[in-house]
Amino acid sequence: MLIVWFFAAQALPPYQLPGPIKVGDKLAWLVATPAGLWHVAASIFHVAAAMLASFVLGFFVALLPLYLPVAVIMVDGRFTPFVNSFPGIGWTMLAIVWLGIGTNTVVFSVTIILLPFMIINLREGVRALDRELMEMAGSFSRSRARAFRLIILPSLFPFMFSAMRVSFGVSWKVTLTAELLGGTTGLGYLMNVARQELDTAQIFAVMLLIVLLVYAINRLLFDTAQRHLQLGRVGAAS
Amino acid sequence: MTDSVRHSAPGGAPLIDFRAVAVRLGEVTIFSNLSLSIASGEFVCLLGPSGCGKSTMLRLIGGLIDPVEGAITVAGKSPHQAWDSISYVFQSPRLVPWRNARDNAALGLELRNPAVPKSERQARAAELLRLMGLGNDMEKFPLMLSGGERQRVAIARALAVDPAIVLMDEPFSALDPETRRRMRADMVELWRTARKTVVFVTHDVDEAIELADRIVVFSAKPTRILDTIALGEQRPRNIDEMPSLRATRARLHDMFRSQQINLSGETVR
Amino acid sequence: MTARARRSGWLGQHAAAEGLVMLAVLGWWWMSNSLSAMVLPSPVSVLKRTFDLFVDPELSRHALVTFLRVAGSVFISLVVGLALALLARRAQWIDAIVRDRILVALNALPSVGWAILALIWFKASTLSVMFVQVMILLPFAVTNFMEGLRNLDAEVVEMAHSFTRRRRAVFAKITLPMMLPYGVAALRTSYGICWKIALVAELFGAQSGLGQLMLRAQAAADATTVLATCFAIVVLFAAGQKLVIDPIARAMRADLHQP
Ligand SMILES: Nc1ncnc2c1ncn2[C@@H]1O[C@H](COP(=O)(O)OP(=O)(O)OP(=O)(O)O)[C@@H](O)[C@H]1O
Ligand SMILES: [Mg+2]
Repeated sequence: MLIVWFFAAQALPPYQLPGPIKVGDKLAWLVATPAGLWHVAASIFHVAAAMLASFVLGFFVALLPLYLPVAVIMVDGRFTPFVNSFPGIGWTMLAIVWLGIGTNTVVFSVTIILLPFMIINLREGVRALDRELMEMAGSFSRSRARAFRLIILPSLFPFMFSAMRVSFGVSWKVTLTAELLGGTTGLGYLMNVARQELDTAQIFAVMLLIVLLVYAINRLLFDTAQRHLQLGRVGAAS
Repeated sequence: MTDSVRHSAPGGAPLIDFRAVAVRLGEVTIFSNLSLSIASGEFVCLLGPSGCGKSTMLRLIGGLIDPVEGAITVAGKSPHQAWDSISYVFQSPRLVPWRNARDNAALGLELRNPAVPKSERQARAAELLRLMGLGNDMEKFPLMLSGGERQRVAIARALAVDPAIVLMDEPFSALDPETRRRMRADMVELWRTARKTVVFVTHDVDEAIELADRIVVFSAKPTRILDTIALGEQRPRNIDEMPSLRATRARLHDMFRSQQINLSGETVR
Repeated sequence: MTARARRSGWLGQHAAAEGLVMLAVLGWWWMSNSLSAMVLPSPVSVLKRTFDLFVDPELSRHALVTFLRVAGSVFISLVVGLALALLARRAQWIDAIVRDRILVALNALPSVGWAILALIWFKASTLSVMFVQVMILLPFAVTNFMEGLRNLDAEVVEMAHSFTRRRRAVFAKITLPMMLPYGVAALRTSYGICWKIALVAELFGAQSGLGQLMLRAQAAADATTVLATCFAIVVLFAAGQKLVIDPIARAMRADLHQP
């Protein structure tokens, strides 16, 4: 594949298809110089902050109907479909007006874009809560806090995990867009600069880096965590 | 539909007392004017066709639902105050998949009384699991246990909180006949040493005869108490070898036949 | 729960839900009073502008173009996705390439990246917009169809082979109908995702469409149009779902149950 790319790049002007060597140079700049790393770190920060914020918010929204049954339609019929179909770019554009260009705008818009993914996964978990287990907990204790800590929370773990995993995949893509339109740092910002300078090699390098990053983090963090989660369920002895 | 006879416990103040209780679930009235009392230390079996309201009785005692009429007292208090002297064994074991056998057996105690230190919780759970014959399976997770073993863990979990009353809702009905027979024998053994008050739901006539001090027999809906039968025979009981028990068995079967019901709840044509 | 309790619960739930919506709109209206229209326009003007987007011929052109592009991209990605999934079944090595290379890369590549590249490669045109959309949708379509083929009931296929050796007949009479539920699932997913990225795809690579409209409005500090565009998308998405996707899904299911 690399070889095909190499020769195709020879035949086309570099702004249409840069060669692998040029892209490699740019990639090295991204991961081995302080200036490049700064942007990589900024993007990682944006992703992490937005994921944390949307998780906390989503957790609250998803559990609300459990303790306040009157809120079921409010959450499942109004709020979630609305945030789910409201275009992500719209949030970014509005955030630019409200918060100005910068980190706040990026984190805010990515948080809201991730919110429906968190809610949908966690709601699934809340719906799957085992009524029999809840009744069992109720027969031993009238403390809602203890039932929450010992039964509900552990039951939700797999769903929290998949909420995180799904949102993580989405978060990189939308962070890039948000940074491109409303950021002053990060890989998306670099892409915007590259776009204006027709620096296609830079664009390739950023996309390649993101593919690698997402793949690596998925493998190192999520796959490992998932193995632990499954081990815990079935028992280490098997 | 009214139940004028008072089905009282033999002697002493009753530990559990139902006075003219009526219950409505959805639009349906399950009981009306039901009276029953159970003495401390008694092993009572509730026997009746499916859907007659046996599980509902247990939920009433445990304070998980409320009657629309009448009064229920447990140890002189309302079920809502007495809930912490009761523990449940359900039809399915209801173990949490993320804890091993010992931690599952300790879960009830952890839910009920967080003041008990972890080491003591674990020790009590382990002791009861040993008593239930699971001394070598404490580290196993529910998925690796057989159905009978899981139900034993659930019984250990219920006993670990040291309740005055144990409510058991068809705890053995999901097990195969052989395991079931063994669990029954173990149950008798356990009850002899622990001396709890047990309310045990079943729709198996032989199970009730083997276990109970007293059998309360329910009709199909509209539910009322058909009869209560006291059994004084020594345990372990072997029905086929004891004429008096054989007579009780025949009497119970007759009773259901004359009511035109079988124990799975369908009306016999 | 009694039927009445459930009904009143239902009423209460709707009261709470509608209450929240009203409260949100009221809060918006109240805040817009003290803020300039450039920062937060009033709900009334946004509603009017959203309405214009569908009736004003100059503006509704953009909405129509965006809708048609979404429909076209969903269709193309379903066809190409099915073709790729069928191709992957031919040989182990094609399956490996599709699964471990094409899908992994397509899944990870961000839509903005595609949008910029498409602009460079195809200039600003409908072609470039649809290219971006198809690239993003393709992995979802392929995954769904591959899943469907993997779960294909081998016994039924074997039964079909016992009656005929014509591959085309088996494909048309057995394989395709059994794939229908997966096709519907692919359609649903692709449709939802395509709307999510429709604006991004149009941002750089188009001369028309709601994305362009929004970008121009943003440049002109016209927050009313930005918000109206967002709501137009919400409306279009819901309308397409209710009027096109749901009926198709129902028809497919009905189809399956016919003797
Ligand atoms: N939440 C509920 N709402 C409406 N009806 C209910 C509810 N729970 C139980 N019932 C009805 O009440 C009746 C008694 O139920 P219950 O579970 O007490 O029966 P049971 O005697 O335990 O039967 P089984 O032997 O099959 O367990 C049944 O007819 C059942 O359909
Ligand atoms: Mg029952």
